[in-house]
Amino acid sequence: MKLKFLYVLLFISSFYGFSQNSFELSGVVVSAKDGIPIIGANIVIAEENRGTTTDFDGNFSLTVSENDVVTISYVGFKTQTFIVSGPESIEVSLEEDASTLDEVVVVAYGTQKKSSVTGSVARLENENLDELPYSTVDQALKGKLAGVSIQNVSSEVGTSPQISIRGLTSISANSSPLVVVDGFPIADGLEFINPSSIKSVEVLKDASSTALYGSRGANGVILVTTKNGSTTPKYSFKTFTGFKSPYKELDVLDAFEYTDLLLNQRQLVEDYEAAQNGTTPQTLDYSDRERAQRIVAAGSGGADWTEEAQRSTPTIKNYQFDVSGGNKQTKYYISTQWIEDEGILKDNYNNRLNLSGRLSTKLSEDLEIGFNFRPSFNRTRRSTVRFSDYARSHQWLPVRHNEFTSELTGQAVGSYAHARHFNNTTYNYQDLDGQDQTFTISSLWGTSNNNPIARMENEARTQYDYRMVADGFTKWKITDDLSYRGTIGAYYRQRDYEIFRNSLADRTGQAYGLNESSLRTRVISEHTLNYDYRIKDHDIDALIGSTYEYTGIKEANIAGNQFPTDLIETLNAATVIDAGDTYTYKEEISLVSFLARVNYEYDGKYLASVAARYDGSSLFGPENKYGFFPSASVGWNVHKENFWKNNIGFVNQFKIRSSFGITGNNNIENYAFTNLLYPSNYSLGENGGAVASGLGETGATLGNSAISWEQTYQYDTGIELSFFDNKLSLIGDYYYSVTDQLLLQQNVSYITGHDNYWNNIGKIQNQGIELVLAASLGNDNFSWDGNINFSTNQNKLISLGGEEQFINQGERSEQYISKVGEEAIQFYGYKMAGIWQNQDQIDNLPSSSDDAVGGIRVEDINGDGIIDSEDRTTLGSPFPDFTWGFSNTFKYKGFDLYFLLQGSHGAEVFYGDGYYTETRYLQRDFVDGWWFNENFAATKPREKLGRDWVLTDYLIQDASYISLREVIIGYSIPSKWLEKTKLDKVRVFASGQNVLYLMSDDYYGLNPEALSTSSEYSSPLISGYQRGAYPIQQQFSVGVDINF
Amino acid sequence: MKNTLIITIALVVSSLFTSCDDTLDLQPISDIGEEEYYTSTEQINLAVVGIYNSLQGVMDTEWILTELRSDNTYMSPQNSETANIPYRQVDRFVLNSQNIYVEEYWSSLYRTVSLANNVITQIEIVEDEDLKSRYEAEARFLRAHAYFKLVRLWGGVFIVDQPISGQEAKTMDRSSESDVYDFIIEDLLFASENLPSEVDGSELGRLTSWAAKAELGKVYLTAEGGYEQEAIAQLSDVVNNSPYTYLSSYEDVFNISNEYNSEILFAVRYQSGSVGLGAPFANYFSPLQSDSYVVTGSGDELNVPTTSMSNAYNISDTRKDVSMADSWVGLNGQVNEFRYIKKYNSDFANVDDAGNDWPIIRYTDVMLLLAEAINENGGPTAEAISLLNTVRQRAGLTDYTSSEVGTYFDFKLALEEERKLEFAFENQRWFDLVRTGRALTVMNSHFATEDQYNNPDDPQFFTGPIEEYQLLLPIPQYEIDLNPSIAQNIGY
Repeated sequence: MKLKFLYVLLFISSFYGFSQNSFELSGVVVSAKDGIPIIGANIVIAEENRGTTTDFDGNFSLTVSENDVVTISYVGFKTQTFIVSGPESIEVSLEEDASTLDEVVVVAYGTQKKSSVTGSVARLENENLDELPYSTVDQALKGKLAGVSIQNVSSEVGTSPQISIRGLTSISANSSPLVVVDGFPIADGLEFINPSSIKSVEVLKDASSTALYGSRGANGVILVTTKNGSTTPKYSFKTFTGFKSPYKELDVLDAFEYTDLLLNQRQLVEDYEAAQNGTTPQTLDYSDRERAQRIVAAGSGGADWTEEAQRSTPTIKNYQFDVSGGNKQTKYYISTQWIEDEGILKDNYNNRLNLSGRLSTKLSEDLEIGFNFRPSFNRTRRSTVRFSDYARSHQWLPVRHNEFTSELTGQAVGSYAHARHFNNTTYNYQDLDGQDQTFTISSLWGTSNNNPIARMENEARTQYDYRMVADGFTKWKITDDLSYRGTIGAYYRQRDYEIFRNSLADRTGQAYGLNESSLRTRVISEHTLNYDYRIKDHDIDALIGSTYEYTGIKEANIAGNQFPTDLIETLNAATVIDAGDTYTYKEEISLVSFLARVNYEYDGKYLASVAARYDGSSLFGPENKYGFFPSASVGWNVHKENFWKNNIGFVNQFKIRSSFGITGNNNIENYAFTNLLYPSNYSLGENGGAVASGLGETGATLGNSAISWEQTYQYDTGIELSFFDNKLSLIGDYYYSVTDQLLLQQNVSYITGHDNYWNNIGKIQNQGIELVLAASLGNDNFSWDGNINFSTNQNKLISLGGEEQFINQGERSEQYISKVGEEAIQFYGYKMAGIWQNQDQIDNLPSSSDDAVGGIRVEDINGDGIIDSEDRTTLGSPFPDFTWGFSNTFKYKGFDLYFLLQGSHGAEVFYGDGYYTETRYLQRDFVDGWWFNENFAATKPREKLGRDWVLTDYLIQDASYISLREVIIGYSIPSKWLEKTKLDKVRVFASGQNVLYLMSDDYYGLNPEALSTSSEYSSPLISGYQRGAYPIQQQFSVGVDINF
Repeated sequence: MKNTLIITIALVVSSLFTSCDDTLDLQPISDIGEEEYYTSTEQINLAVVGIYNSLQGVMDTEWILTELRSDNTYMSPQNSETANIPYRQVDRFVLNSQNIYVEEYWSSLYRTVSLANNVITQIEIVEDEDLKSRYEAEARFLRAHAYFKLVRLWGGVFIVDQPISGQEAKTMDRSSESDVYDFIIEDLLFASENLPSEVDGSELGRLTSWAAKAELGKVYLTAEGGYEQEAIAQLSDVVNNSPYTYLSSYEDVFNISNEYNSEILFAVRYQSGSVGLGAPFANYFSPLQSDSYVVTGSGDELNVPTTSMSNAYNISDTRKDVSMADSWVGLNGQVNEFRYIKKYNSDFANVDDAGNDWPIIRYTDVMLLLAEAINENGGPTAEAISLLNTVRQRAGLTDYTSSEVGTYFDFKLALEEERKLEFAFENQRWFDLVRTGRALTVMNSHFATEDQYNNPDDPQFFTGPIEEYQLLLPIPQYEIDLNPSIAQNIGY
């Protein structure tokens, strides 16, 4: 069936595009200003209503006859007309024309004029992405694209943000969008594309624009287009250096503040009780433990742990060097980038080397081949210790023993001091009556951990990523109308994660080494035929193709211990290899697809498009491997109608568009369709036994042979308006989507012997509004460009396959609920109603055996007079109500100023640091107003009393923020000053990130954007939890950009 | 020319449109898909070994729901990290259905059940009749062993006797306690009849018919319904006719170089040496902050012997020094007064990698169970008293006279105390107290007297008397959240 369609198409095409006495006119269209090729320029022979457009590299060829009048036009440029004189290759330079607007956008498997696009596509030109002090492009996109949520889940350098487009369309393992770089899908492309090499970023948001990506398009698609070569050699060097500091620091009690607080509160109680009894209050003194802490703090100086852990001035340094050049046949673009990025914590840094080479050449007028080559090296030293572990460490404890503590504990001077060293230590002091006293205390702080600086300094966690993407393409212009493009490419990523912990790091005193190595290879082969035909006012653009994708994954783990020395960190020095943690593992995935699209346009006014993809995936069982994903869309350029032009002239553009389609998702773990057995050995035999081989089903995933595609039905409608010669423009979109047959890794009763299985279950709905309002004012001397984007998204679970709700648990047993009719994830538990001031209240109000005076009192939600699991309720959601970004660019002569304000409102976060006992009594937010006696009214619970905090909403806090996210001030030296040099352009700039950052008073932590994303939190139904987050970082940088 | 080209392209492209079923049919490489498995006798044997492997997962948390709940041990008062809240909830009987260890222990037992069911369902693949009945018997013993724990801790549970899907699991109801016991007895009868009476040295650790008889005896003694005669029959068969016996020295029973000795009918086996089969208990139970003075890699200070436990040993009782210690010696000979369990300690190189087996059924256990069965069946006889005294003699204690333990109740209390000391920290105490109906009395007296629950400096640990319902654990909230129609145990 499909095959027949192809032959018919090929057959029809062979009749066209061929005429007598004609020859090929070929050439390249470039911008007169900078020589950069213009993509999508129209080359038309007016009399014949026939023409073509330029390709990615500005090239075109067209069959013409002598004396044909050829018009070359492109939106934003002045049209040129000339008469064909003979078969030659020409270069046309178009002058910019500020009075018109239309641009070409990159779409799935091609390009399209913006005015012809019927789907929802957001576009970002690279103006200054490479001047911001970020180490990856994805961070630089934040706040700039409506409907695209980019969350920096950690301020640790070297971590990737979490990206989602138009909300939570899936509740499967992965709802991050597909990234396609220059037509080649690269899952982690945003992590290693050199920002300076990027020309533009397009985001495909609705089903019609993503339809050609079929099963991979449901979460949206990000298309990255990189710069191409030019006809004259150009060099560009850019560098910046930035400095960072934490935006906020935690207020933590030191040893003196903490012990004084406890003493003062006891004294208050004593005074109160004495007054009640009519006696004279005693003057109380420190307890032994408090006194010991004060003595050690005074004698050792203690440690301000968060201060100890942070670099005084972390820096980021970035160097980029780009070369481009070529001639009419061959073009090249080479880009290099080196980044040294230091984290706020002393052990955290990230180095990246990104290289990128593009080469293309025309073998003949009809045949072009090209090759892209992108190697990258990335080294990230991850922080060993979470930030919360510094903040919750007692400050009487010093990092290392001095003479005083050495005397006290018997440990060597200069060695690391740990809390346990102070067990059974003896102190002398004078009591309030002046008597000499001696006491011995069993423990000052009951932690078993080594101090966090000792752990930081003696355990290294380093990740190395070696990536390589190489892809080649062939473009063959078979006729004027029909062209073929074939791509074959490979992606390769070797990731090595190395941990070495020496004997000083861990409380066990044991050295340990781990090398986790994973190799991921992907081969993609894609073939498309494109048929572009216009006759009179009809313009048809059709495409068919097939793709094949194979992914191989190999993991190799080696763990070892018993290192005779701390000086060798590699596993050759380990005398014991841990067999339980040493293995290799392999898996593979394949995807085979066929795709087709037809765009039709009448007179530039009426637009229609249908597209479909047919996918087969190895991830599903034998009966369910295939899925079909069609879409359709229409558009109407109202402003091209005469009645509009004549009457409402100030609105110079008005387009209405609508689309509907189905996309899919196959993001599940491999082999979920079957039960898996893996080695489960046992020890049998005499003399302590020997390893006996065994096999058992994994206790994790229960196989489900019926597992199949998840499908998203998406509807989108939008308007695009421009006023007053494009000085003002507005794009508005409304979308509504329903994802059916949700792929869900669902909890399953333990009585099956497993804890989860994959199921196609239920429906989720997303709807939202996206608005982009842009204004552009000014003249040659002064101009202002403003852009506001605003996005809302609401998700709602429509069904869970007959279930009312799912309850999921995080690492501290805190709960998350997915409930039909409500948002897909909400926090779940008991609602705090106050605290238990005294026993009377517990006796008289609804309570349970978990409750105690000084603990959290919760609401009796169902009103039955007792507190039990029926009283759990929803406690807020981790999703924001709305997000926005407001960017501004001012230009005055050579100066420019850019700033971005960005905000997120209504999301809540679980502040997991509050789980730790020490945090609860050392962080001032928890201490101010806490309960200490039944006679003193309190507003906050005491750290260890009563009900488990994590099962209530006490730690659920407002994560809203507003930030002055980015500022860039630049100055370009006037070109007349540069005339005598060989320089084309010199620009100096200064930039800042998080210059201002407002967060809610209700929020106790350091980074409202931080989220845990690993282990439990990789489940899409558990979100909104943070623990040990590093502070939001503020950065300032200066840089220079030289082109020659 | 041009048409030729087009046809060429058409052919090239069409070649891509060929059937791709082979390309998409990718099977697991590093695991085995179930469809490809269970095809040979050897594979069934591997699957049986896989069930034994799951016993280690059970032991990981079993001490929390048995020993820690009993009066033998408690949650260390010093160890008050938030992470230890769930242990403390269990220790003080203030736990709720969301307690993580209730959930983990429950799931580990059903995992054993599920692995056993896979073997039982696929057993027809084994052609050799002897092997077939042996493998099935092993699977059924291990299944019954898991259910015996489930029924004693949760009452009537779900009887799952074959592999089930997630949907099927939702349609299941809890069975009555007596149905569960019937199911267990049926499995153990099959096991005792079909297991070999001995195994090769190389298979030491696999089950024998004697282990099944001993387990069956204990089940009979525990189940409601007057099975004392049956219990006596099974237990005395083991005591009188089996090749097992008690060792002359208590210490030798637990000696790491003397594992699976003739006193051990059944133990969960562990192996040191970084082979993924090491035991974590030495590290779990050793004192916090003890560096490597007690065991390699310090301890977590869990499951700490109570003061009353330490005091229960007679000065001449040789068992105390094998089972626990009252202090440890640290840097510069400094003595730290702190009790800890040392029964599972040995020399090992890596954290959580001890080689000590965890005994499940010992010969002395069978002896004392037999004495108990006799007592339950009409009071202590000379044989019963002699069985008790034999165990005492080995411990270095003097014999009870018939005037001391001549009555049913005196004998019962003497047995209770002896079992406490003989099987200290072997997860027997809680089950003993419940089986003998003594749990409420013993535990409430424990809470009233033990220092940790009555320390005015730590009022947060005051623990009141417990009630009958608290002898059972709550069904994990996880299960009820998945299937709200499941009945929770009364009181929770």
